[in-house]
Amino acid sequence: MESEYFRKFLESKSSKVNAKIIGDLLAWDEGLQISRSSKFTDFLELVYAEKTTGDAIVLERGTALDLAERIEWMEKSIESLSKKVKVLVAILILVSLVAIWGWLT
Amino acid sequence: MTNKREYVRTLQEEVMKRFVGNEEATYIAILNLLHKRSTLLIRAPRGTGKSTLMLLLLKGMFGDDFTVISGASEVKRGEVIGRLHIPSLEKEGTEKVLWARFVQAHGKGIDEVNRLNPYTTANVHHMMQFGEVWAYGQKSTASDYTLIANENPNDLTTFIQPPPFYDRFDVCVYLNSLTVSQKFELQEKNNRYENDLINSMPQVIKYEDLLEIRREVEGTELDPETLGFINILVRDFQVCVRDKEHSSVLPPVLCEGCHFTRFVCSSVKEPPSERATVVLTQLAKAKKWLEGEVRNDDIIEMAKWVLVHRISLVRNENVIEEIDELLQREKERMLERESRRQWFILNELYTNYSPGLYRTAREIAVEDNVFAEELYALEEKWIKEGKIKKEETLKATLGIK
Repeated sequence: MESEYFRKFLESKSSKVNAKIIGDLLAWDEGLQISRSSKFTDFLELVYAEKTTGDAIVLERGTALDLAERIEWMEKSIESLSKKVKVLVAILILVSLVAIWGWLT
Repeated sequence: MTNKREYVRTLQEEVMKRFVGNEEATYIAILNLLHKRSTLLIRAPRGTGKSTLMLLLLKGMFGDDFTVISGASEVKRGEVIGRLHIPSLEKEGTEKVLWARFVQAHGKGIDEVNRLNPYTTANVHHMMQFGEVWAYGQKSTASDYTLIANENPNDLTTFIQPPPFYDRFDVCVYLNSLTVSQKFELQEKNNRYENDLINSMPQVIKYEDLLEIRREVEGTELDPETLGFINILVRDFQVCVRDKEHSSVLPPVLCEGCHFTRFVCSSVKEPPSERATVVLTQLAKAKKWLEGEVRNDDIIEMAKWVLVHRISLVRNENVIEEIDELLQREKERMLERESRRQWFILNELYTNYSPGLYRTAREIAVEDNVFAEELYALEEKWIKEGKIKKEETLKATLGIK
């Protein structure tokens, strides 16, 4: 048997729920409030704009992959250039030694 | 009109002027005094003030008009309840019973209740259950009373008292021993009252005022949500989809393979009786009457003292700590219930059957066995109305008989 008090309890609980029944579905507004710190800026906006709105930067997958590819290319270039610099330094030392020897003799 | 709440606050102040520490236990004990036929059990190790607290409360409410019996010395059958009037028997041949002062007194105390002999226990148990006592085939009805008892649960007892006897005590408070600073505080208080804490305690409430307070507390209305909170809380400690109340196998063995093992139910071997709900409601009313409001957190706090002597737990090394932990889990569970909007959904289902909402309710029921019980009841109704088939029900899906 259904209790009147129990129904009152259910009704009281329900009166505080801001939900709607749409067909067979139940929907409610969570009432989320986005604070300033939780606002985000697009990566390209960060690069090209003078002023940005949020504290967090959001990247699209494509932009992130492009960025990762460019970082990889730059790392390889740095590695290759640093090898070339080492070779040039060695040649410079060798030429300097030859010149000093020639000047002395 | 004198504010009767002031009497209760004065009682608390006067007790705390003479009693050290254990503020929460004392407060609950005083709240529990505010309803009819109030019974309180104080549990504490030897020499931690359980008799002192009992006497302070009795003195504060009844002055010198109370009776204390001692479990340690009360060994003669019948003396506690009544005895035969020998001259009537000799002269007239009639059995006239002289009811003992303990029966007649409005304020009753039992020191070391764990040592009470079975005959006296049975009589006191009957009085707490039915509000009457029997001796020599005659009955005496007890009017409104206050019964405060104490015991040291670690004492070797002469008799083991039955669990239903303890269940008749509304609340059971545990006292702690004193810290160093509290010992100093006690010495100060003893000096202030010339080592006579009990006799210095004034009567702060007249019996008529106490009756009036109890009437007012009884008439205090709780809102449906507070009542719902109490009922759901107690049900969480009782519920078992495997019917442990009627099973010879108890948790944790009974819970093996059960879907609901992570809930409070699996930590409770012996569930609390329905008295837990009644007492918690009385305490909530008393709190609302005294303070003007009662919050859900207050109910959680009070529940500890209502449940501690009524349930048996799977882990019982430290029953107070264990109950505290279970009650904290309950707080989170109540919030989960709110976030699922489950009572809203149940309310809608009570009004109209909706397949979509029923599906959502079934998903919720898998997360909440108390909610599931209510859904089972609705399913029964829908089966009769031909809205669903028996084999489609949640009960059938979960394999619950």
